[in-house]
Amino acid sequence: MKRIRIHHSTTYTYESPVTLLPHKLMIRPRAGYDIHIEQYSLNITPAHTTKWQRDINGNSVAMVSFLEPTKELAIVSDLVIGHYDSAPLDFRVDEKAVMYPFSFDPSERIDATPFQTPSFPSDSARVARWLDRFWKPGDTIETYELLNRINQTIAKKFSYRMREEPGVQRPAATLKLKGGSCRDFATLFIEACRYLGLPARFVSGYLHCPETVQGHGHTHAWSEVFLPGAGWLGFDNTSGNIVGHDHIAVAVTRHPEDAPPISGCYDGDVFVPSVMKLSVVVEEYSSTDPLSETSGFLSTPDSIEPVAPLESSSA
Amino acid sequence: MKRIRIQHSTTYSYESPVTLLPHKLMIRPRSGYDIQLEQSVLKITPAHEIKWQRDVYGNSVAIVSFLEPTTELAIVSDLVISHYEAAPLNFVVDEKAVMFPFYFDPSERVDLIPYQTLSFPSDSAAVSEWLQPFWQPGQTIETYALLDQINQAIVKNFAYRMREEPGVQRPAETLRLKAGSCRDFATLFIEACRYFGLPARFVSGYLHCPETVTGHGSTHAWSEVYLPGAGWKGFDNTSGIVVGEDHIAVAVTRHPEDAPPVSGSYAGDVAVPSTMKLSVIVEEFTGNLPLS
Repeated sequence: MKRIRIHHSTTYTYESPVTLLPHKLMIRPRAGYDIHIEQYSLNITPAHTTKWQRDINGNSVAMVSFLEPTKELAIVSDLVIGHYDSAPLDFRVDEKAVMYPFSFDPSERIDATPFQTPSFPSDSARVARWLDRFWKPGDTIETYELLNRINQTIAKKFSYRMREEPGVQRPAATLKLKGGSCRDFATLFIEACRYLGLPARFVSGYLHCPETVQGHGHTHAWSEVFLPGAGWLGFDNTSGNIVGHDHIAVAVTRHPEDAPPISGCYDGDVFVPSVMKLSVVVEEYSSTDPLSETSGFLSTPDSIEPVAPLESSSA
Repeated sequence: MKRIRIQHSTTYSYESPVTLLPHKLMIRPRSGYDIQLEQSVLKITPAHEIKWQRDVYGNSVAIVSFLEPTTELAIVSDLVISHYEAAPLNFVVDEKAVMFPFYFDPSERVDLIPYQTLSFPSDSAAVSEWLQPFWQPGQTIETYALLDQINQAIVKNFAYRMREEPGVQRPAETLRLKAGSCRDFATLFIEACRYFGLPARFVSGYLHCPETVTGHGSTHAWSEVYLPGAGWKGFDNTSGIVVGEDHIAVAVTRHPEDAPPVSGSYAGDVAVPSTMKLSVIVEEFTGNLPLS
């Protein structure tokens, strides 16, 4: 088990007071057999109310409504997780799906349909041409090998470029430029999987990487592919790795543009100049003290969760 | 916040040793903004190995492979959760979806297709006939009121019957008998929602009820409906309430038969007589963690 602390702070400063419309936050890590949230705090200013919900894809999403005009919006998430997915390659694919192509069971097909539907259908021809080198009708190849080759090609042959703008680059543009951000690489990989009929989706989250290789501030994006028998498997399309205990998933979505950590706007037609400050720290955490004591960090009433030991064991 | 301990033990005893095939367990509560898993201990005999995975619906599922033949299979889950969903009625539906009928955004529609697809299409005539009084083409009704009226009709007019057999009763059968188990009521409600184009899915889990009303051993089943703006909202089709801090969801599935807590079989064609013992305790927890 590896314990990781994530401190994620976003501040918008406006030149004059604005009336903020409701904001949507996708910043709570996806808890499950692999990730336990041990401590969690979310501090937001100005005055606000928070309603949590489970969205279509099962993400825990916070809808924040603001109670007063403000010149500054600050969203600070500070949390500690325990990560248990230390052997991500230890998975087993159903016999029927070991070799590609294969067909899904009728009952699986209905659930797979949304994730087999291209998000950029007009780029299909370009993606198809690129995929020719990996698989042609009549070929048989190990499913995992096919996925790994596509992933390695993106990670090794394409050049990583930090892109600060929101949104993603179309798959055809990434193929033309032979470059992109982690989001762009994930988008291309997802479209490639879907072209081959393999259900795939977008993941946004955090990456723990002590020796920073690439990527800004340790927010990160990657993809998941659904393989019968193994479930959703994570592929990092920037490093070429299978997703393990350095990856902390926050949100999964069908369309790569639907998972920004913070989205929302302010009321009115008048443009108010603003600056945004982002700070993300992802680091291994060895203390067992509650965060509020180690950091002087106080939880807001709408966000507190108790500090509690968490162990999952099987004997 | 309410802290709840769940002890769930299942034991199968076989008259002669069997070679168990891999078993699938859906017994880990769904964590998220509403439920925090404080501690979980899972004990299984005989010798085995476990692989966890996230299934197509996002459930944390354990696949257990056994290493030796056995005359007994025991699966004991002991865990403590904290429940934060104290105000389930405090939700806001998007303006466009407050009144039924409404349209989903094109981007949502793709994701929702599986949950609008009937699980029992050959029963849709019976379901449609039953739904006549609730809504007719041309009418406008508050979406939540429509859902609540269907839910209340099931709770008030149908008799609860414990059913130990696996699987669910078809919606047409529940309508004919005017009776069923919690799974059967959820199944009927889900098919009714889907008939109206409202995305719905099955939930299996635990119910905390100090004064036990219905249901055996506090395992329970209910449903979730997707409402734009509010997300997936839980409806208990046995009690008629909106799901709050007494409900602990474990697994969500499109088809009501895909969420048994324990499923698996043994090798060979010969039937080996067996008995099953089940014990489920769901109680408020005030003790100290970790559990010893």
